[in-house]
Amino acid sequence: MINQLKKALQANPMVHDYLINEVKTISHQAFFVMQKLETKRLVETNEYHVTVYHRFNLDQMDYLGSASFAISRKYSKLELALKIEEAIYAASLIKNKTFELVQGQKKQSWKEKPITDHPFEAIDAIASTFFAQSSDTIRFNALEVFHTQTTTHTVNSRKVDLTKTTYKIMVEAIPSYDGETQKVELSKFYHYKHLDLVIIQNDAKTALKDVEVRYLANRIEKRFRVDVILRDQEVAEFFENLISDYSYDQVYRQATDKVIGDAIQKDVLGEWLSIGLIPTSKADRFDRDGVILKPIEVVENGIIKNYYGSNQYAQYLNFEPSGIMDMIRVPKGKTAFSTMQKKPHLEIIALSGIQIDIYSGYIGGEVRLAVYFDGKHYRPVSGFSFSGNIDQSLSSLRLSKELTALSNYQGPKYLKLTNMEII
Amino acid sequence: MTNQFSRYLTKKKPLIKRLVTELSFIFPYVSVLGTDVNGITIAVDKKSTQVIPSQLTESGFVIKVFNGFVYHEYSINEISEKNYEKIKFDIEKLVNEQSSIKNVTVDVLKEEPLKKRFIRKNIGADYTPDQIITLFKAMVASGIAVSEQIVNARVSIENTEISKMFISTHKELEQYYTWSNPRAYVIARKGENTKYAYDGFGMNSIEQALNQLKKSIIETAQTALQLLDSTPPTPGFYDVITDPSITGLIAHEAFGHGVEMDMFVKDRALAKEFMNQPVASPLITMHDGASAIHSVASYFFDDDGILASDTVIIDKGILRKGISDALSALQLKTKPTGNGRRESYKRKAYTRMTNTFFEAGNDNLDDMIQSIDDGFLLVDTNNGMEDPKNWGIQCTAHYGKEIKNGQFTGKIVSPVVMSGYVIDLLQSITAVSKDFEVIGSGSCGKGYKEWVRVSDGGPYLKAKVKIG
Repeated sequence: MINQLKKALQANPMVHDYLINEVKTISHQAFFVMQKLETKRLVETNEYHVTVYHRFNLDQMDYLGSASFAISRKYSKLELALKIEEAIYAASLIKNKTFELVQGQKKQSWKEKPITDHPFEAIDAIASTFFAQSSDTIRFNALEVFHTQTTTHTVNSRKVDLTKTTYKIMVEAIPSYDGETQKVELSKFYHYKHLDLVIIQNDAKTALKDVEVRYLANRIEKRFRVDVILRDQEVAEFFENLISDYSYDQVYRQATDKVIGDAIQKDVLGEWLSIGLIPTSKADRFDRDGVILKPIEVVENGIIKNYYGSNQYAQYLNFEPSGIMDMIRVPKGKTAFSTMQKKPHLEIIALSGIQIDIYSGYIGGEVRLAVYFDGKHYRPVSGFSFSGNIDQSLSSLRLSKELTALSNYQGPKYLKLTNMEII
Repeated sequence: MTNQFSRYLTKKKPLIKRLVTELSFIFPYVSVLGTDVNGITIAVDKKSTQVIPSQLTESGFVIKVFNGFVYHEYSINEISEKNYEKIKFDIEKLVNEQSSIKNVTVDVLKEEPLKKRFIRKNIGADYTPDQIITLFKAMVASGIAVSEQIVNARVSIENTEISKMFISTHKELEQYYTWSNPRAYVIARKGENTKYAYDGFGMNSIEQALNQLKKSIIETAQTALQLLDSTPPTPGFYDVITDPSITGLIAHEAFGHGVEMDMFVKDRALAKEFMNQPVASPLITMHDGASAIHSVASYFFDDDGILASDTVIIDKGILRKGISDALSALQLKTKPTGNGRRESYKRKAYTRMTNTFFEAGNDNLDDMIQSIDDGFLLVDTNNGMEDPKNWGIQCTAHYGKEIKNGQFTGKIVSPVVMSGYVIDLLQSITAVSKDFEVIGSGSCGKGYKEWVRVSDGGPYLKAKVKIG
């Protein structure tokens, strides 16, 4: 199909450049209800995203217009020519600043080692491992397991021809506890790059332990202020929000007034923050434009050091493109988790969803499960909210020495925010 | 817009019918869902223009078979003479994959014979991309002209035309409909203080959508300016009035997800135990359904081939009925409600909401505002999260207008995060306005994935909530 697309694009003289992204997906999926198999699925798809570019000069200004279309079925020669004609006509009307497409060097490909040669057998082993940890009253009422192989092929009119193949296993698990007075549950997500049943067994045990704790949790009735410890995915989301405005396109669109060299932390009493972006794996070597990915520090010791993102917007701002990367990396913190736990605090285990509004400085969320330490005793709590100010939090936050690795984050497992309002 | 059912799917129909017939010799249930969704998103801001495919663009098939024990699905792009035998081979291979885990006990899906075609065309004039770009440039300029403090304005429209075909042993269904989602987004800045505002809505008319967007960009710019002076609210318990978007968000998160009946099968919804019991103020009647109102989720049949319906979930405060996909209804021995939806042909069908709303009441909005001593009018949905098993709720409004002694003070708070216990919230409702609006521009995930387009709304409500 790529050759058919290339021929059709080259046949249209209005198409001055083009970019083709082919994504081939093979996904094996199984859905379990009350620890029994309900549905099995196989997905085998090939999809194409095509961008056409048209250069033109108007009133002595150079422009580069572009338009994209998606294809996921076979097109006749005529249908395809028409699709390209429509897109290039739209591109010819778009007066965007000019930029250069990524220049390719040679055809290259990268491939991760497959997790397994028998995906449904692996899914079976994963589900069996989860279910083996359960009992009559503590179990997984729902479990979904996805094994996905994705091959991305990026080709452009400037000799870019790059291919990468990645593998991942995703598990959505709903640990549930049927107690004497009520039934409770939690939502858990896991991403695996290797099939290690010991790790999976530990995840399953922890999930069931957490939901048992939720059953024992009491509501917090009084309002007070206390330090809050976030962990794993909420820590990742916190950092993601902190750097979201420093991508080239956000800067170009004036979403932030901050520039390189500005501080995001003031009057620091806690730890200095450094936040970077890295590829998700050794095979994740290029982005959708064909930019070869290199790790980049966005924030270093509380100061914005670099912007990041796509080829187009990097050139608009006269920067070298970093490429689009999905993995956030934060260096190890200076505070041991055990030190964080010494003073009264709330350690959050499950949130509805962390709410962060950088523009208003708001951070907070509804807590489904936390462990409260009042200085003497630990007790599980739920049914309350926490909130605070991000700027104040940034001056006093603590990062753990303990590390975690998620699908989109590598860095401290725990983050401590001081003096949050509990209601 | 072509305003006609996909020629591609029509061309494939004889081959799909053959596939269903041949697979029916092997399997007691066979169906094929074919999708051909085309769309374009055009976006213009101060500095750039984008023309990209709609996020909904897709073309593919889901072949579903039941072997007497487990339902199996195969999602592919193409069904042609060339890969026809391979498809049959791959399905048999998929079915023959053994599992060491026991399967659920489930019957074969039973169907009544049904052959129907549905068409809903886009209303009014069609617009070419150049016409839309020209209009958008003028709109962006008008938004920026509102104040020197507006640093950027962006308008966009996503125009989509959806063709779906469902063929099984007894059913032959086709549907075509269109939808337009315009959006406005404005950034305002005063010194180091940056704020943003947005608006989004939907309708089955590009012409009307563009007309409404002209007004929306100005209003959005004015809201962004007001938000420059906003502060986060002081946490506490307040009397609030919710605008139709927040009302819809409450309906959606409180008892929309809570009555998705695939959650009943998984023992994940407390609502199952509260059927025919009071769960809300008697002033509350709540609906969900693709045919309940005309909005973004108003299809004619769902992805299981079940015709759309209108489900009254809560009737005058009493929980009456849930919504379901075909497989959940089969397991629960109930009638499916036409709520089986897939994120795309690549994903499984789950029970999903469509158009969810509270019915209008008899109160005047002005009277409701005057009845508030110390509270807020909450405006513009940001996001929400459900907890069907334990009835926690979190709803975030983009901003709130402070009300003291029945009058707006001019103070704006943002963002406003409401949380609490679903029943406490719904039973605290003491007034329901005569107004009614459903906003057809939402997206809804199941947990944290499986995104589908939904609408929600209703009247203004007066309630007591925790703001944290």
